[in-house]
Amino acid sequence: MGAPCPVYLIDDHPVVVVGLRALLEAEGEYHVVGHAGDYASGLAGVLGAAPAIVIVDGSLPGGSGIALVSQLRAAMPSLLLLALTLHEESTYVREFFKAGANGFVLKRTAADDLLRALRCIRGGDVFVDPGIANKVLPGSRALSRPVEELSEREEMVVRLVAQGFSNKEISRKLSIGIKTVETYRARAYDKLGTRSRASLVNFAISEGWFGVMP
Amino acid sequence: MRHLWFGAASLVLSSAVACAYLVRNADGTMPFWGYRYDDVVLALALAINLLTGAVLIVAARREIKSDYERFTAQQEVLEHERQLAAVLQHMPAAVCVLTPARDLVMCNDNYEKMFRSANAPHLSMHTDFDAFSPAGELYTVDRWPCQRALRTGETIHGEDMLVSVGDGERIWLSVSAAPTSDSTGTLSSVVIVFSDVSDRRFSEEANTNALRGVISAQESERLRIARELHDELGQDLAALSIGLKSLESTAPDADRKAKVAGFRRTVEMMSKHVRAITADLRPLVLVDFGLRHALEELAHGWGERLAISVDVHLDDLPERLPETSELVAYRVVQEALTNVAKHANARSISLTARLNDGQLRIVVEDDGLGFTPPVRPATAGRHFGLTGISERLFTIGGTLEVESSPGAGTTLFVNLPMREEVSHGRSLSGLPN
Repeated sequence: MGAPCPVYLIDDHPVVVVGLRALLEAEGEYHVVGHAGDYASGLAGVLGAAPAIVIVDGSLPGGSGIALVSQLRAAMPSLLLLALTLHEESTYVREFFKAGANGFVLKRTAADDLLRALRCIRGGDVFVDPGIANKVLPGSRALSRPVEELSEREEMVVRLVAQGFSNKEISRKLSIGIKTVETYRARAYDKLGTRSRASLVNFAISEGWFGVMP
Repeated sequence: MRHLWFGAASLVLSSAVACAYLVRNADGTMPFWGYRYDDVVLALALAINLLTGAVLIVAARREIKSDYERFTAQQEVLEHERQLAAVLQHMPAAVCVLTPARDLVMCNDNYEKMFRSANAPHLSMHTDFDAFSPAGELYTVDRWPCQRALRTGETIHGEDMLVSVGDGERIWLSVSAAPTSDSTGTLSSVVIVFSDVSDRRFSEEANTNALRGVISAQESERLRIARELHDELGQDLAALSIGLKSLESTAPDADRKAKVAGFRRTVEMMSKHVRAITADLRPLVLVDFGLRHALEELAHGWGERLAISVDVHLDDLPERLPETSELVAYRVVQEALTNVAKHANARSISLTARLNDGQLRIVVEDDGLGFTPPVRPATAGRHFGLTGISERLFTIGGTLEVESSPGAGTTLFVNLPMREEVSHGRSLSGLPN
């Protein structure tokens, strides 16, 4: 094994820093070249110490870890950045990767996953905590154009449905009975092959309905 | 009456003539049965006169009777008018009657007081005042209840309006307007009633403010606890877990290694619990990234837990909205999805939200069991187990509508106004003068 890989820690929790240092240096594979407890000193520290890897906490005094990652990525394109956070929501994962992180590890499972994650990103791969990797959000399926054209009335009704109006409001707006609204809507849904308002909204957008409302 | 005098006079006259005739002939020079022609004529004239007199008296009696009846009827009408005037005068409301040409037919003192103290140019022109709906929209002349009643012929019942009368004083009036038609069916006038409901409105407002205060105190306390749990306990547990890992890898024997690993699993479980509690108290995604991301996480989280399909469309939501609105919207959807999980037995959920015309419209739809909504829409929230949510919505002027029928799923329509808070008070500064 060659010289230990220089790592920089940015975390405002001293006990975590101590634990991480012990974990990283136990095998002699990594060497912690410095650590910082807030946004500004973290930024300055990394730029000064020029490590190979930076481990960044999600929330820091003085700014978010995501903003720090994006700033470091801009300053040092070849730097390996690993997010280490308590936040498990996919939004944080996405935002960290958007900012330019190479890996995302949960603090909860860091004891098991951290070394694996470091090896992975050093190999040029992206690492996501396996516990949240399946949380990749599936987008709403957009509806294709209907096989059968919607009638004028049906289209008018589903336009309003897509806008989030209730049957009662639509019946008032178009001066037709609630039962009639339900019928038009059911027919339009059948033609579009959907039961879901969300996919209807997708269809409405693809048809440009919201730009030119009558 | 004249008939009576004529009748009486002719009776008296004919009696006098008859008496004079008898007196002149009382010397006995002529036997009673020996009469002359002129006597016969006289007698006939007298008889006709008597008859005329009698007829005139009968006619006079009839006339007197009908005069009396008319008089009584008039008295009754006057009495009714006095009663009506008294009712009008003592009603705890300002009342006026206007013609379609906006001429004042009548009004009570309260009306005069209300509008004269305000130095109104014309008593009939109450539409000259600035008035606002509870939602803060200005009433144009055409929108005033009296104008609408005249235009549509429909009665308008108790519309609450904030009206500025007098020296910048603003009062809440409940305004009703009822059009009346004449015998031919044409609109002849409109009766307008104004009642001062300021006390009710202001106490309602005070209640809403108090409720808002309680909710906001509760929310900020929740946020504080969530932050504390996340930043302190969460970090400590993470540190503990990492420390145990080091201990584990340096353990001298397999037995101790296994024990430490067991402790570490417990700590990881604790972290998970802390995280769940934090997310429930106040989702930090909502604080950090806003409503759109938070709702997405929430919906997909429920989809995963219930193993049902979730269709979400929130692309039309702006990145950030006012904090209170974000929080209320999040809580409403949270409660709605919890309800779906508890009762609906749904196969799919759809969640959409759009911001349009200053209104945030959120629709939560499921294809589950559904239910028969109560007749009174106002109780819909309570029925659906959303009382707390309705209250939250109410404090920021939002509304909730539920559409459901057995077997056809349930759809929840949430409407939140996104305008700046408008508070209505006697000395209101937010509205134009």
